[in-house]
Amino acid sequence: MSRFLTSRVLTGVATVGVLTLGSLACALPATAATSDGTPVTAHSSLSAIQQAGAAATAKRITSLNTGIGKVNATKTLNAADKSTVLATLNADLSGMKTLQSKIAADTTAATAWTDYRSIFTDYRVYAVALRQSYIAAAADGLTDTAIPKLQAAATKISTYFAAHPDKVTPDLQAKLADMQAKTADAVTKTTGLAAAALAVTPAAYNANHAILTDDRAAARDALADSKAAAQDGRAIAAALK
Amino acid sequence: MIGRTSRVVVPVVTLALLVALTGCGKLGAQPGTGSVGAPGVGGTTGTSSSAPAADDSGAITGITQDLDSADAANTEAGSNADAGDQAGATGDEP
Repeated sequence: MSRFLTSRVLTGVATVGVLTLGSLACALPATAATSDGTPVTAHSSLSAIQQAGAAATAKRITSLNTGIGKVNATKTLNAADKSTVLATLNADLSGMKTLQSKIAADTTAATAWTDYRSIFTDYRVYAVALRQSYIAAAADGLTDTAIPKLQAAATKISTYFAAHPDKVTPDLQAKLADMQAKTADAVTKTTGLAAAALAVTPAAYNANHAILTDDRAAARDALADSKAAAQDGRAIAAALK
Repeated sequence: MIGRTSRVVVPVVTLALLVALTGCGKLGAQPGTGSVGAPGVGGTTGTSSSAPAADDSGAITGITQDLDSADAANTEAGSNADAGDQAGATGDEP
């Protein structure tokens, strides 16, 4: 957790430094639009930036509250990861509320713009915090429950096959082999996945917007493997009944 | 008449005594003895024809329960993966 906070503080300091120099402020893309659709930029009016800031923080506060509720309700995140995720999401929630108040109270467009950009660059609520939390939850669900249950089922099927060789057909043997292979693939893809996803910081994302792409793909691939393995198991169980 | 009867009775009694004393009765009794001990043997025989069916059912039920748990975890993992994609697709972050 300290890594997240440290990263965010450092990123914030760096951002302030950049904006103080004014070298990149004009080059930064618009990050949201006002209610009339006009993108806010470093040259927007104070009220326009405040309006966009209020909308952006409110949206994130709603999403974070929803995410915190889901994390509290989920049974698949292990205790350590749940603690990490909740710490991040609650810190971001607090940060959004602070920024929401600060932007509303800012008296200059420059300060409001700096604070407004902080919503994105220092927190990355959608691109990192929520996304990594859900990837970790998916990974933990596979690692801690789905995969062990598939392994247990495969072991029981093997035992059954050994006791009833007369019932074992080449097709059933092939399905069991595929079930075991798919489960092994899921193990490979989920090993260390939650930790890797949760280690991504806003600063890392700022440097590489694709930093969670591989983790996301690994979670999806592992899930597909796990589902395929379960289907193999279902087909075998149906044939043995 | 009495003499005839005694000629018949004496050999019968003698035969019965012989059977009792020579242990030939044991030979005849062995199946009985076996059947006394047979509750185990007979039980095993009886179980061997019905127990596999019960074991099979239990084994398949166990497999199915494991798969049910795996499916439930897969469903939740899929839901979380979808939520992660939605968060990533919110897309208003430069």
